[in-house]
Amino acid sequence: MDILRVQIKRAGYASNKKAVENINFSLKKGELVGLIGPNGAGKSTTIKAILGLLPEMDGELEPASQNTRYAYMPENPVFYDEMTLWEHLELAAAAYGMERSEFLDESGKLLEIFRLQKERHYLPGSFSKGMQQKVMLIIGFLIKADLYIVDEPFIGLDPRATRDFLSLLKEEGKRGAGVLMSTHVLDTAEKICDSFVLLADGKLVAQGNLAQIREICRMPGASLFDCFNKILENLE
Amino acid sequence: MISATQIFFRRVKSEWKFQYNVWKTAIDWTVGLYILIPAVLIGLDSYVLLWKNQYGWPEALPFYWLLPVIYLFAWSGDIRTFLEKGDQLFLLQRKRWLRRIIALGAGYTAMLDLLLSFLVFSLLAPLLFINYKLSAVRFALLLGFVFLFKTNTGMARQLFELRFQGWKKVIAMKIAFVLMSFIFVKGVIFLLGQPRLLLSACAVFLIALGFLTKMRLEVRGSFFDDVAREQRHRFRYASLLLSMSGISVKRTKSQKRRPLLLRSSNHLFRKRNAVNLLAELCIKSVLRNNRSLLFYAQMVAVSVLLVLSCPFWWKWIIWPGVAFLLASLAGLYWKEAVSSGFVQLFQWKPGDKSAAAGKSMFLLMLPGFLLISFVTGFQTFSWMGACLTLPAGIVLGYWITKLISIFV
Repeated sequence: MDILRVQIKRAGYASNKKAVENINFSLKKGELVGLIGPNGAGKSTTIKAILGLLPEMDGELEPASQNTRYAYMPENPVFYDEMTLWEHLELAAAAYGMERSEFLDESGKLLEIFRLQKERHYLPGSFSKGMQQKVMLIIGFLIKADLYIVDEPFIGLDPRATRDFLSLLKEEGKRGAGVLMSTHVLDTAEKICDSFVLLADGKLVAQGNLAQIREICRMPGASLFDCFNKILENLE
Repeated sequence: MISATQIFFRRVKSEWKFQYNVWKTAIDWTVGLYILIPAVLIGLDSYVLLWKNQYGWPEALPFYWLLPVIYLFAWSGDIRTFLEKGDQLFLLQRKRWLRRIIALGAGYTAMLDLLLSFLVFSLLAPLLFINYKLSAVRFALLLGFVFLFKTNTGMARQLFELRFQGWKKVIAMKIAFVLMSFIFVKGVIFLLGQPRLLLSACAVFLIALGFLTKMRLEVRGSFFDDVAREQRHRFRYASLLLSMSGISVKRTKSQKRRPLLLRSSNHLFRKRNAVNLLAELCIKSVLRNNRSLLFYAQMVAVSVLLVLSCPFWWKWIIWPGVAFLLASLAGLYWKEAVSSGFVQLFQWKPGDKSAAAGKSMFLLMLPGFLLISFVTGFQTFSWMGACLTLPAGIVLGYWITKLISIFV
C-alpha cells in the first residue's frame, strides 16, 4: 500500500518557478526510498514541495490518509537559542498530542540510544554539528511517524550515531513507516535503501531498485556509485 | 596590495551602508513626513524653550537625579573590533593585521563615544548651564570625564567578558554596575567642586585607557567571541526591525551551555499540552534573553516615569495606552518565538497558536503593567487607588492582550 504518491508537474520559487519538473514516484509502507542526485539536482526542492513549503507548486501529493503523520528531519538543524534539549522534545511531543507517559518512555529511550542523557538540560545551540543532528533525529523518531522525510542525515554524524540511526530506520520500516531520504552517501544508501529516485537538473532521470538501476545503465553487478556516475555522464 | 587599514575602512563603510539600508526600510517617506519631522520640530522647539528657561520642571530636578541618567549613558556601549567569520581563512595567520584591525576598531569606538558624548552634553547643556550654573570649564571637564569613563568601562567590560563566562560573569557584571554607579555619582559631585582634581582624574583615565587597550590587543583566543559580538552589533537594529515582521535573524553559535534561569527545564505550566508549551516557549525565550529582558525593563521604566511626570487626568489616559504598548511588545516577542524554523517543523492544530499567543502575551505584559497600575493608582488615590488598580489592571491587561493577539 502506498503511503505517499508524488506527482509534481512543476514546482519552485518566485524567481525560478520550474526548479523541479515532472517528478513522479511513490513510497510504500515500510519502504525506504533514496532520493539521490548531484549538487543542485533538486533534491531539497523536491522535499520542500512534498512538505508544502514552496510558493510555486503544480502537482499532486497523495498521503495514504488525512491522518498520515510525518516527521521531517532537516539538513540544517533548527533550534531555539534559549530552550534546552528537553524543552525542544517536550514541544515536539505536544505538537503531536503525545501522551505524557509515552513521551517520557520514548524520549528516555532515544536520548540513551544517541547518548545525550547528560545533555538533556543543555542548550542545543551550544552543541557541535553532529550533536545537533542527533537532536533532530531524536525529535524525528519521537513521534513514531508514518512517513519520515530525511534530508542529508549523515552530515556531521559519528560512525556510532550513523549505525544507531540506520538501525532505528530499519526498526521503523518493520513497523510499517515509509522513509524518503535525500543523501549523497551512496555506499550507505546502496546498503539500506529499497529503491532510488535519481534527480538531475530538476528532473527525474532514473528510478527503481538497484537491479533496475543497473539494468538502465547496462552495468550488471556495478555499485550504485558507478551507476550514478554513468547515468550522469550519459546526460552530459 | 591591500592593507589591514584598507580592510578596516572598507568594513566600516560597509557597516554604515548596511545600517543605513536597515533604517531606510523602517523609515519610509510617510514615517519621515508624519512622525520623524514633526518629532524633530517639537524636540527643537522644546530645546529652545529649555535655553530660555521657560519650563518649570528643571528647577524641581536636583543635579544628583540627572547623574544616574549620565551614568547609564557612560556605562552603555562596547568596543568594536570589526572582525568577521571569514577572517579565519587568512587573517588569523597574520597576527599583525589582526591587531591592527582591533586597534583601529578601538580607535573608531573612542571617536564614536566622543561624538555621542558631545551630542548628549549638547542636549543637557541648557540644564547644566542654566539650572545647575556650571561654568564652561567645568562643563568641558565633565564632558571629558564622562567620555573617558565610557571608553574605559567599555574596554574593561570587554576584557572581563572575554575572561569570564556563565553565571559568574553575569553576577560580577551586575555588582560592578551597581558599585560603579555609586562611585560615579559620588565621584562626579565631589570632583565638580575640585576642577584640578577632575582634570587629574581625566589624565588618570587617559593613561588607564592606554593600558587597557594594550591588554586588549594582547588577548589570545578571543577570535570567535569577537566575531559573535560583531555580528550582534551588526544585526542589533535589523533583528529588532525584522522581528516586527515575524522574521528571526540567525545567530552565531551560543557559548552558554545551560540557561541561567529554570536550569533543569523546569515547567511553568502543570498541564503539558500544545497551547501551554507554546506559551512556555515564548515566556522562557524572553526570561532567558538579556536583550529582551532589558528592553522590557526599559519600556516599564519609561512608562513609570511618564505616569509620574503627568498631571492627574493624563495618568488615566496614559494607563490603558501603556497596557496597549506592553501588550504590543509581548506580541513582538511572541512573533519572534513562533516564527522560528523549529516551530515550522510540526503540524499544529488550528487554534493552538492563537490560544498560546493570548496566554503568553498576557503573562508577559502583566508584571510590568501591574507595577505601572500600582504607581498610577497610588499617585492619584493613595493606597485605596493602588488596591483598586491592581485587579483593574489584570482585567484591562487581559482584554487588551486578547484583542491584540487576534492581529499578531
